[in-house]
Amino acid sequence: MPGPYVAIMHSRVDTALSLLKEFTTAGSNVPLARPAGVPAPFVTSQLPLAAAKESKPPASDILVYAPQRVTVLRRVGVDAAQVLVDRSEEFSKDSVLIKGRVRAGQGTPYPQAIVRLKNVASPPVE
Amino acid sequence: MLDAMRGVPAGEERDLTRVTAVPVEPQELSTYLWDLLRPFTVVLQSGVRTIDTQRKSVKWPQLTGDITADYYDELKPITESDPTFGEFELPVAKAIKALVRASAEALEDSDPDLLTVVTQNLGVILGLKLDAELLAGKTSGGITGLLNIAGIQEVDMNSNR
Repeated sequence: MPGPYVAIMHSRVDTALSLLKEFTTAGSNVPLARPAGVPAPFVTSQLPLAAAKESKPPASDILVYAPQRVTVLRRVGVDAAQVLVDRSEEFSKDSVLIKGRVRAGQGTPYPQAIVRLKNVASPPVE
Repeated sequence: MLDAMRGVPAGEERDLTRVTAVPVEPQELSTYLWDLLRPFTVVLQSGVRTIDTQRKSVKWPQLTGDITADYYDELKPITESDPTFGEFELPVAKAIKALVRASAEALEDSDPDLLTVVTQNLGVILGLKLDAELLAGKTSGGITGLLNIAGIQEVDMNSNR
């Protein structure tokens, strides 16, 4: 599937990767640079984090996909993303209600354009 | 936008993001909330295509089978073959909603402006919730989520843990 591709990872994974050194043997303090041509990942805390099991650290997933192959539907018109203000209770309760709502959909006809790296170690920062 | 919110008369309810009559809020307000939540939604930031629709779903034709090509000797009949088409349907999920009840006096008198704080927070919370759903949504009737789409490629890194 043609790129470009992007990667989305949990903030814990991003931190763990940023702490890697060039050599795993003791003595090196040179941070391991991202390979040439690899774009910076998108980082979020909204990816699920699985709890630690026995001696293994917590785990999460990394998503690598071609964004041009993924579509987000944004509902417009009657059910669009809305901010509504209701002052009908202002007289009786001195209160104002503010409501926000978003309606969207998502999918892809090319699921093979999405790669899920499962069970990536996501240790807490100590 | 905030001026429009303050402009709602007491005792009334008003949709601030759609144009239905004159005088009304400008058309640009229909994208106000979407723009507010975008910085907190990494899936939208990653460059996915966004399509606007007024329907419950959008359908596209999908090529599911190819035409057949082969070698044929001269004067031999060529077998006909047709491509096969399927349909890809993308539904719009249920709405994600949040409701805030604020004191009318606090909205009018607060410094910093409470309405600004509430509106900004509404954008953050709806943006993060939308992001979580776009990534890993599992709610019935909600967004499927990238992690749960059938047919994606999976590599288990468990052995590296």
